[in-house]
Amino acid sequence: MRKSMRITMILLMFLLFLLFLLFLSGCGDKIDLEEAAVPLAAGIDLDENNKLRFYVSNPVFGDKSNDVQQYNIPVTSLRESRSLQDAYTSGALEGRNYQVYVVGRKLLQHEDWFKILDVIFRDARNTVLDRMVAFDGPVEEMFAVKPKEQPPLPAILRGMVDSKSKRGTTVLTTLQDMHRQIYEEGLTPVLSEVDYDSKQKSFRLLGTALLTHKGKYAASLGYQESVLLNLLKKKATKGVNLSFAIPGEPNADVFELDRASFGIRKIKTKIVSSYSDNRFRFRVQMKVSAALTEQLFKYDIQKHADILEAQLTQQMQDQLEKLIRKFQRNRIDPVGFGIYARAYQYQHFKPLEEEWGEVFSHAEVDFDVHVKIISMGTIR
Amino acid sequence: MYGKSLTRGFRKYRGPKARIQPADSDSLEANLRLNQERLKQIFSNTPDLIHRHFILKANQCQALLVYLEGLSDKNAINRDILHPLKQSAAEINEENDFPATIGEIHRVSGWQQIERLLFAGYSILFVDGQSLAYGCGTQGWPQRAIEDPQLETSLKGAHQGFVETGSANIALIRRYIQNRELKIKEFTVGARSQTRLSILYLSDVANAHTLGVLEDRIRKLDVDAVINTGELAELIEDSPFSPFPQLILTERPDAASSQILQGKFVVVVDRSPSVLVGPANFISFFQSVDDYSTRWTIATFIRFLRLLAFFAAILLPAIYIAVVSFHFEVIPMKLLSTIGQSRAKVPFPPYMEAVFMELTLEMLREAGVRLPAPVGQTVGIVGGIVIGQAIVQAGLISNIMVVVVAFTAISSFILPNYDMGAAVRLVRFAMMLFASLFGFVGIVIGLLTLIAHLLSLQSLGVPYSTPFGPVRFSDWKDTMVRLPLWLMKNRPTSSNAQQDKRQGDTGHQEGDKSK
Repeated sequence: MRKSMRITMILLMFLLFLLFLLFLSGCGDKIDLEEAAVPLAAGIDLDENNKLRFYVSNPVFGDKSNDVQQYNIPVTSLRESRSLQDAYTSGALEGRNYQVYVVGRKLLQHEDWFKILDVIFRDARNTVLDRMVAFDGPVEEMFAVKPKEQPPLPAILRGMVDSKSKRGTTVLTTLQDMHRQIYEEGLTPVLSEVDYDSKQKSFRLLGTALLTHKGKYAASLGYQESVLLNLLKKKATKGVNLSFAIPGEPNADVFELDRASFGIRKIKTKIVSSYSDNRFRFRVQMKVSAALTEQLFKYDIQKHADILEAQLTQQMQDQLEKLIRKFQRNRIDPVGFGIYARAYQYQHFKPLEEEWGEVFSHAEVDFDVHVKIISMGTIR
Repeated sequence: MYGKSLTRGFRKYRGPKARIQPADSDSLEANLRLNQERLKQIFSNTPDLIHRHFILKANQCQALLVYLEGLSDKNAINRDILHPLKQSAAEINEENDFPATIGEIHRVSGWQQIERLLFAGYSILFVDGQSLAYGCGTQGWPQRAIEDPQLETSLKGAHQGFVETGSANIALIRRYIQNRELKIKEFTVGARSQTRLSILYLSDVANAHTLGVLEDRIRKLDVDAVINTGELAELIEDSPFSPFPQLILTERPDAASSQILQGKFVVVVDRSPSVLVGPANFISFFQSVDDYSTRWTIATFIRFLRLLAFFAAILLPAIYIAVVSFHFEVIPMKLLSTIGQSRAKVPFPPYMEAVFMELTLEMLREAGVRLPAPVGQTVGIVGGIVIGQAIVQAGLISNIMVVVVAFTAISSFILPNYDMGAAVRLVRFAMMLFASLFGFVGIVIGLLTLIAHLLSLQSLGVPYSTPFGPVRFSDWKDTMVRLPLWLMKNRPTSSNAQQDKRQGDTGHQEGDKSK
């Protein structure tokens, strides 16, 4: 009898305990989704007085779908100003769901801006997989756009970067990548670049922005140049498209009919480094298996494929060389030739690693491109 | 090592059965009038006890036939007892053959036995001048026809379910196992109900030690009545405080027979339409008869589905709570706005929302079970409309929560065993509590606790979570996957059978070129 009473008591106590647990609020860091402000896009830039400003775009969960709250906040450092940031929202601002992180052109004109982002890496709660995007213009302009007709800003930007980087016309640089690229001596950072087309009232992907070692803006690349950069970085393999003007083919009226485009079916890139005469030398071998996708001039490929192959090879090689000259002029190495130099020519690289961009501008880069047409499409 | 588990979890044996007062003197008198008075004294206020006085022609004396109306077959009494007795010239005494055309005749001299026989449906004949009565097997109580099992319906299995008569149930099992090694041990349990329990097992296969454990526990029972198999299971199971069923209750003769063939024990409880199977292990609650009659690839797919459903039913609301209140960084961007918008209007925290919805669901389910079928349907419709639409439109519960609840409900009904489904529904609430307190960390703690608990459980002294812990790889053929039957040559090691082999080189063996 007494034993059964004891068991009953224990059960009752346990139920009571469970009942009390119901009213506990739980851990201190518990914030329900709808109470937190969950910004999906963030941006930093300098305003006209060269003061740092922080921009966020918050989705507003309510009756109106697609509603967003967008504001900019003057800050000195990102974490110190957290209360300032919070002041604008109904809940607590949580940097956990950023999809894109935008940096303005004006900020990029200055060196060492990346150090501001320290808190993102130090506080493990922050996401580091957000796509970093350079904005050609003041970021204020970007965050002032109220997307009435288009999907929200983070969605467009992220989609743009993700899909275009797959086709090689820009690069996909997450915050984590950026961190690596900044601290890697044998490489200079690259970002995808976007601007706002005020006529079309739409954001537009420009291509790739090239930065110096210290993060300062150096140059921009267009689509084709970005593709070539990705080929050199071995980031683009299949499915990217290149388009060349074949010299000697006639143009008609207003149309440029000397164009030939091909998709890359298979590419093999090999970079060999050497050091002689106080210079680094790089030899880049590219074997391209191309499938013609467009050819606007009359040409019998079945008989004379080799001539067209030679012309395409020449055009591609020229453009690659031009691209390298552009890098060297700006004293940058977005491809990462420095990584090859460090791996194979360590004694020569080590003393110069602090100024690799400068050293690379004197390096010699040879190309050995070979384009082979393996498909001419479904018509003759 | 089994000694402790034997005594764990059931009621202490309280000495000899003393609650029912025995009669002053047990033996019959040699006088019919005295016996009749004694009978009236024992069975006072028992109007359904029929007394029939008549003269025995052969003995030339008074005789009295008594039986309980409703428990006995009136036709048999009239045709096979009264008629022959009135015609017969042979004298009725201890030596002579009893003239009634009845298969079963007991000669009884004690009142206790008479009492028991009467309640079992026998008719008792008293003869004047004899201190002996004759119990005739005229049992015939209201019986239900054999029907399709209600709870464990099957597409391809047999459509005969157990009924409320123990002997019929044993016959149903015997139809599957026509082997003299199928042994039956009988026990009578319940001081007031006198319930007949029969343990069925294959004596050359089943493990003797486990049989000992089972017998021991049944013998130690001292209760008023065992009305249902579920009661028996609760009285003899190893861990009464666990939410998980440790013995299988089934109403399918084919399922019970296949368990016996694996070397397990089946307890048939008279008057209960389900039998008890033990020792059970965790994975056997995910096996259904249909698995073995569909193609093995499909059966394997369904097994995966059930395990998935098990985890979904336990974890889904918990994960929802954890994600919405702690870890919304794991929500993809597009889903974030969907969830955010549906949550925005809801005035309750996610945990309250989830508990509220899950409780509503349980209420709907319970209401549906208790109501007759046509009304039950109405409950379903009302529930569907009220819960599905109105509650969301009123802004009380978010859309996503409704989806989560619906999904968990379906998941918990996928489990083929009702008791396991019920356990899952209970564990779910604990998981939700953990999730609301500590997020994903809480869920992990809850899951680990659950796994530790499952590993520590035993069923009739046999580990509950075999073949996973202790690991028995050869048994995995019939767990998460269901490999072809011709590969399962041995009985599951978890049943500790005396004979491992259950089939020879059957079917598609490697050396068999004729296929």
